[in-house]
Amino acid sequence: MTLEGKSLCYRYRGASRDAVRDVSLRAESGAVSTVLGPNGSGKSTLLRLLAGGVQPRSGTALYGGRPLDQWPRRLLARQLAVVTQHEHIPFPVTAGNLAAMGRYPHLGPWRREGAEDRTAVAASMERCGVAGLEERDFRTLSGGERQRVRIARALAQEPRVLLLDEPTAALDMRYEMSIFRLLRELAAHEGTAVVLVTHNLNLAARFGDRHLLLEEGATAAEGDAADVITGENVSRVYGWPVGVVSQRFQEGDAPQVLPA
Amino acid sequence: MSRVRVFVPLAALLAAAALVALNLGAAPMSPAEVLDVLLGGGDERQRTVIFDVRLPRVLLALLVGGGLAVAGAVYQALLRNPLADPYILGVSGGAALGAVAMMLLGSAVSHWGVAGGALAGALLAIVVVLRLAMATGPTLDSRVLLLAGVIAGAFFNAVILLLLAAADFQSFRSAVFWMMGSLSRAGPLEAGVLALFLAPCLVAAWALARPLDLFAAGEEMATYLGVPVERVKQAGYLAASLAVAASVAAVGIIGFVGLIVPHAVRMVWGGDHRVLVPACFLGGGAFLVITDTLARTVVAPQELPTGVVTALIGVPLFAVLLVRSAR
Repeated sequence: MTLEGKSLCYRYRGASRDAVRDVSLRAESGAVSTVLGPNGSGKSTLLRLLAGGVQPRSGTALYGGRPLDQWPRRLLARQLAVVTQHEHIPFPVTAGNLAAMGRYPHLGPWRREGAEDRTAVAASMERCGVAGLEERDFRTLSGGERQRVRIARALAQEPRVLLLDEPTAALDMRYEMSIFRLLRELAAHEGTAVVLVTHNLNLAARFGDRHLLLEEGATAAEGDAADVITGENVSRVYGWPVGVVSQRFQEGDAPQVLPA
Repeated sequence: MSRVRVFVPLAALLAAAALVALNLGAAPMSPAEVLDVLLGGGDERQRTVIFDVRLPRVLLALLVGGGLAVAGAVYQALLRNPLADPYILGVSGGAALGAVAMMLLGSAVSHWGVAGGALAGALLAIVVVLRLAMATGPTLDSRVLLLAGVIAGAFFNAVILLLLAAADFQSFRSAVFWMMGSLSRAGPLEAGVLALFLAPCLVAAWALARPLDLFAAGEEMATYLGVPVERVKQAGYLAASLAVAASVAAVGIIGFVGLIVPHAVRMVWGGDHRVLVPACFLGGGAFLVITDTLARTVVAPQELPTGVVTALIGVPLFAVLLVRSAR
């Protein structure tokens, strides 16, 4: 089953223009699709539309051919996981319990966690490099640890589609690289459809398969890195002159952006 | 966190508090005598004192304290606000208005009449506040709900003050005492009726424990994790509000239990609602049994208003806990 947005439009209450205007996106299984664009270009709104967090003004978001608002959220949560940009936790909760929230859609009628659930949580925490932090209060963790615990929670859902909104904002280089590697690996080895909103054009070009560049809520360019991340596109959309060079990585050749 | 490690000490505290409460009163009995009476022994007079007077009062304190603490925990989770207390959504204001209105009808109205008026007022407040909160859109917006609750409460209070301004001194005095909360009317029937009202609310709160945990991540995130957010909110607010309505109708307004007990439990044992909800019931119950026993014994044969004693004892206890957990 595939997650697909068709001609999505969304307007916030009281706004004079659409935050997202006629944007379509298909989250291909086994691929990392990135959503790029400057601040306020509609990236996060697009992600919320694809997650079913808000309803489009026109157009539809479908999973498996069925509109998202017709899915029971519990069933959808077994297929689709979301890592939002911010999360404020008002109460003490351990990192282990936060990650275990990802098992909620899989629990039976008595909501008791079984051995399978505990294994899934432990495996996803291990995978995100936060094993051993289970008993720590989530709110006392560093920014990088928190973000990785939240990604572990999404992986504990065992989703077919993973939507992430700037998961590496405020992370240092090592964590950022390890998260991009992890997403690449999920797509390649488990066939997960990854949709990633990011400001890091260079890592997007290097680790992404498909790219969507947004400008004021509308599609400015889409396709593979060589078509989307060009000097002309990026300079125009971001409003800053850039040079683009091709660089060889172990993942393959990728365009890299150098701001003037 | 092993649940046994939480529930056993709380249950032991509750049992100890109950036993002491049964010992104390105008006709003191030793713990051995109390146990003997509970197990079917003792003379006629002792049996009357325990089964018609002290035990109902202990049960009433357990139910009210436990019910308010659980309601507070549910409100705090749904509003995502650790400062929410069971009276924040105007239920107590509605109840007080109903109770005061009945008292002003004259001394012919029994305490059952006052309780009925309070229950009617509380239910009216619940309906008004929920409808106000849903008037802004198809979903229940917790921020709007909070505002609606606060303004409804303010309005009810204004009407109460208006009524009291016109009341004679005797009605004024009984109304003010009612609003300070008292368990002195406790009898077997009162405790039984309250238990019937509270039981479904408490079961609902316990059943909602897991989804309530996920509300800590925010409503949008909870939706993404598979929680039917609207249904949980509606069920949670209704269960908690009905528990508050029943408690207030039974004993008036007992402050502070519903705010500090969930807090204290969370500080000591964490925020997992499958532990928090039953621990709040046991802890809230024990707290009110202790404070109510103090209220009726320290200046015997006079009684202090229980709602005042809960704050007098609860505030310093809570301050100590706050300072210690901040270290």
